[in-house]
Amino acid sequence: MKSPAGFISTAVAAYQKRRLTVNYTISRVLTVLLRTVFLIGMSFVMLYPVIFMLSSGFKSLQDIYDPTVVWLPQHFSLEPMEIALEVLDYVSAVGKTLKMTIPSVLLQLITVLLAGYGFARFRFRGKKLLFGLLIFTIIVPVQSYIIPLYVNFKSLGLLNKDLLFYVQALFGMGIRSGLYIFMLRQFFRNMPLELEEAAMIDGCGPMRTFTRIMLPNAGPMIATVLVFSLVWYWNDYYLSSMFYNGSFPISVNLTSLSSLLKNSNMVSGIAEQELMFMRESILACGCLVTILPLLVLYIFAQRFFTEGLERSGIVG
Amino acid sequence: MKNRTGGPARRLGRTAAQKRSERWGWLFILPWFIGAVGFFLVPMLQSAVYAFSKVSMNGGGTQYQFVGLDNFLYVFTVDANFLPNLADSLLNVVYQVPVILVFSLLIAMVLRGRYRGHTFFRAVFFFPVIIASGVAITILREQVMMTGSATTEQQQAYMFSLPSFDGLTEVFGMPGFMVDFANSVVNGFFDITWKSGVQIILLLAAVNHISPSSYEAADIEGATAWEKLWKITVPMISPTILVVVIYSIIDSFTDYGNKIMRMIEEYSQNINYEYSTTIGLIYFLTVLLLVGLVNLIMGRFIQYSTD
Repeated sequence: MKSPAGFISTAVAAYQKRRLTVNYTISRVLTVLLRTVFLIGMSFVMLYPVIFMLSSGFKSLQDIYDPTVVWLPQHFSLEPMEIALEVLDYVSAVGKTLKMTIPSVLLQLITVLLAGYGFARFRFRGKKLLFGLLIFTIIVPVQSYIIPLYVNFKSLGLLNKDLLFYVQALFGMGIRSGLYIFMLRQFFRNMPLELEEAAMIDGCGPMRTFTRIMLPNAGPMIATVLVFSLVWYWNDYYLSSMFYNGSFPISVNLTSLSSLLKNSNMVSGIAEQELMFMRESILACGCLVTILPLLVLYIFAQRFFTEGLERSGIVG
Repeated sequence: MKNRTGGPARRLGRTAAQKRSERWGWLFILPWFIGAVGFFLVPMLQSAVYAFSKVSMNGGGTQYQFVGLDNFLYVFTVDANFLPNLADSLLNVVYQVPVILVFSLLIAMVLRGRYRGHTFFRAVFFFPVIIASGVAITILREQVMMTGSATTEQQQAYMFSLPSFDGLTEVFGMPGFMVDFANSVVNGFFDITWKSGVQIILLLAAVNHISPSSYEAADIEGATAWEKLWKITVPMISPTILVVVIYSIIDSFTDYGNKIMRMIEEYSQNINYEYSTTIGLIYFLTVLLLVGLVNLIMGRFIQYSTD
């Protein structure tokens, strides 16, 4: 038995409900649209340098003179790339970088994992003080104590040797070690205690618990630290330029590329005038080949990397 | 008291288990500790000694001569570059850090959740982390894309530039300084985008950690998106916000493009050791002071979840 008034009110309610859903759909579509436009625009900003390097690195001289050529080279040329590779001494510099980077990264990883776990799970006297020291090592840039460090390493006879970087990495003072220890500490603290308690009851010592239980569960985080560490070692310019002499890793060579180009003796078979016009392209190529290994690494490791970071729980 | 056994254990001394835990704790951090003392603490103290002395090299050895505060006096009274450069660095921090914070929070809010292509966009936004730390980007900016506006005294190098802005002067008859300002804001903004990689990651991790139930509760109460942002999101991620601010400050101060960093490097390369360390020491103390101040002020507004 429905009264007319009751019927009307249900009809109104139904109408209002439909209007609400329509409104909702519109705002939903708008949100998605706005987000997509925004993200695509920002992506362009983020990728701009790479697009720029790719575009200007492969222009031939003809294209450089031609003002109508902006983004896409009309005449593809490998000449700037060849010059860049030659002046950078690319192959041997990359070899040098790898020899410095990879052992350092692995040694650093071991120490950093141990220290992160130590800070996360054990209670010992002086821990707060040591944690303060850790924060200090993150805040104080190496530049403010580089000279005593240099003198000490000199007296140890470690200058211009890869061993210097290995030793630093092994003893937890590699590039940005403090940051990784901090990150791993936060990560291990967020792991459930039950796992370790179960392992302890089954008779695992702390070291075994660490290697058998904690490490396998820290996979994404380890990947993250590895990628960061590789990147920062690869990109290191300051320490390498300090502690090496003679032959340098690739990023140090890149910093001197520009001044080397002014010295036309470095490049054979090219007129000085042409070299000047090609300078920009050569520099772009130099930058590109320097970060190329990192780009490749990032494309492959990207998934672990971003997942690991998001799960790391670096929340202060 | 975090100690489960409470008072009695304390009175009786530490239990065997606690002692064992203590030993293991030390063992785990031992390698780091050796390095922290040998490669950090000792050099720090040495550099403090350098700053108070005159270092001279003759033959193979170094000689120190105590000169008191001479080096510091020189920095503050004679050196014409140090104070302006320091002010410049500080000013950079003051205007960049808030912009970086707001920007990275905005990006984190947009990137959160799942939608079509979210992996791709996340990958793109984390991408600057890979390159921005390197010299490649500085070289690209300063030597390849030298595109600062010509009227500014110190040519600043920007990642991007909008050349059309210069045209505004002619079209609208805008005074030059306004064009410069617009230029520096717009072009500097892209630079800042590029410096926010790590910050976006940190904030995204924090934002994704907030449990959806608090938002659901707010929805039931009829809260608007704006209210949810200020009453749920911001308080929940406030510890990370502090980390982000401090990270940004340190990052800005230790940037390769920073003028003081360049000074420190130049002096140490010119074998002017004591001067380089003096500058380094002052600089580092300034950073520490700033970080401490920020920590103190922001610490009052931070809400730690009780876990």
